[in-house]
Amino acid sequence: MRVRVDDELCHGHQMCAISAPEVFGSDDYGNAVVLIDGPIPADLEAATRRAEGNCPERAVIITEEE
Amino acid sequence: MAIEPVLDWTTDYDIFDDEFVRDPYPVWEDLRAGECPVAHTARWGGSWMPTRYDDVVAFAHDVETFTSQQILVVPPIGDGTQIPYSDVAAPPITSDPPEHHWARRLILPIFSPQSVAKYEQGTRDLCNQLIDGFVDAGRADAAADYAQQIPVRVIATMLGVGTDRSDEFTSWVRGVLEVGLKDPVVRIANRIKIIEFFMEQIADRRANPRDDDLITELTQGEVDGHPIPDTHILGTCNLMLVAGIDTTWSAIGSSLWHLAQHPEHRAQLRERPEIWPMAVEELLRAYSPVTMARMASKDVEVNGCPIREGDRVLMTFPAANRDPEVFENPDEVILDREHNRHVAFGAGIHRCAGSNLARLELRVALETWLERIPEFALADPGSVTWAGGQVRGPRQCLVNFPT
Repeated sequence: MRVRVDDELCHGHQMCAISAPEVFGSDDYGNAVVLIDGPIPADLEAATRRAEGNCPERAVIITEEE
Repeated sequence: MAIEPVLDWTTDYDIFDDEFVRDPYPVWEDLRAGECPVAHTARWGGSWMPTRYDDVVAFAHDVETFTSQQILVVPPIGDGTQIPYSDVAAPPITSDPPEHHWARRLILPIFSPQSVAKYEQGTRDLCNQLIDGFVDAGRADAAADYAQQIPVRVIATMLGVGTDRSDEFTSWVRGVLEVGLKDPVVRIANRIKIIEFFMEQIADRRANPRDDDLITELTQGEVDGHPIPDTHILGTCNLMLVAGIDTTWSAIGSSLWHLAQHPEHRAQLRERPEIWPMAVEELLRAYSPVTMARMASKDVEVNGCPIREGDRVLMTFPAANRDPEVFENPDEVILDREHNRHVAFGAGIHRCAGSNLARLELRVALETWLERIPEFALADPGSVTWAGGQVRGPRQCLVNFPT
C-alpha cells in the first residue's frame, strides 16, 4: 500500500493526522503531508485506510500494489 | 413583532424558531428524506437551506457562484455601506479568491497543529481554575460557568489583550452573533465596540511592539513586499474574536450536555483514553455548532432550485453531519466511529482556520472536566436553554455532581 495527499484537494482539516499520526503530519500552513517514504508498513495500513475514510475533501489517495 | 408559526418547513422555515433552535435535527431529517431537500424561506430576508451532505459540500466548494462577502443569514441594513467602518470585514472568512489566498496564508501558520500546541498547558490550567471555583458546591452551570469562560481567554491570550476584559468580549460577540443576528441595531453597536477596541490595540502595538502576540505580528507582516493595510488587520482581529469564541464555547457546552446524559460514554473515555481524538471528532460531528452563509453572485439553478443573484444560502454543516447516506446511525454518538468525514469545520477553501485550536480546547476542556468531575448529571433537562441561528449550543446547562 502507498498513500499520497492531493494538494489541490487538501484544505488542512487534519483528519488524516488524527486518524493516523504515524503516517500523516502537517506543514507550516496546517496542510497534510505524508511522513512515510515508500510503502506503508503493514501495521499502519488499517490506520491509513481510516485516514482515507475520514478526509472530508477526499484528498487522501491510497494505491494498492500487486 | 409577532412571529408567524412555521406550517411548512420546506417553503417557510425559520432558523430562529424556538423548537428548531432547541432541536433542529427532526426538521432536517424530514427535509432530507423528502422531495425537496433544499428548503427555502422568505423570512429574515430570504434564504435557501440544503440538508444533504453532498449538497452542502457542493455549495461550499462552489466559491465562484457563492461569495463569502455576506456570511450572515440576515441581510445588512440598506446596502451595508452606510454603517460605520463598513470597509472592515473579517478576512479571510469574508474573502473570495484571489484575495482569500493571501489573507488565509497570513493566519494559517498561527493555527497549525504545531503552533497551537503551545496553548495546551495554559488551557488546562485555566480549566482547572474554573473547576476549582465550583467543584465543592456540587453543582455548576456547565455552559455559563465553564464552557463560556474558556475560548474567550485563550483568544485574548493569543491576541495579547489580557483576560481581565473577557466578560466584555463575550458580551460583544453575543451582541454580534446571538442577540444581534435578529437585531441589526444591537449587532452594529457591538461591531463598532469590537472595531474601536482593536483600533486602539493596533495603535498600541505599533508604538510598543511585543514579542509574542498576534496583533504585533499582523502589524509587522507583509504581503508581496507591502505592509498589510490597517483595514485588513482590523478585520482579521475582528474575525479572531467573533469566530473564535462562541463557536468553541458552544461545542464544549453541547459535549458536556451530552456526557451529562451518557454515563456509558464517560466510562468509555475513562477506560479507553486512546479514543479521545476520535471522540472529539464525533462530538463535533453530532453537535456541530456552526452554520455559515454565502450569497449567490449570479442566478443559478441547483437541483431544480432557482437561486437568484443576492440570495443567501445556508451552509448547514450540522445537517450534513447527520446525513444517513454518509454516516451510519447518524443520530447516535459513537465515540470511536471508524469513518467520520464530518464537515463541522466546513469544506473547501474556507475550512475553519482555527480548527486545530478549537479541537485542542474541546479536548482539554472535556478531559479536565471528566478528570475532576467524573460523575455528573443534568439538574433539570427542561431548564437547559439553547442559542441557535448560526451558532448553536447550550447557554444554560445546570449539572449536579457528588462532592
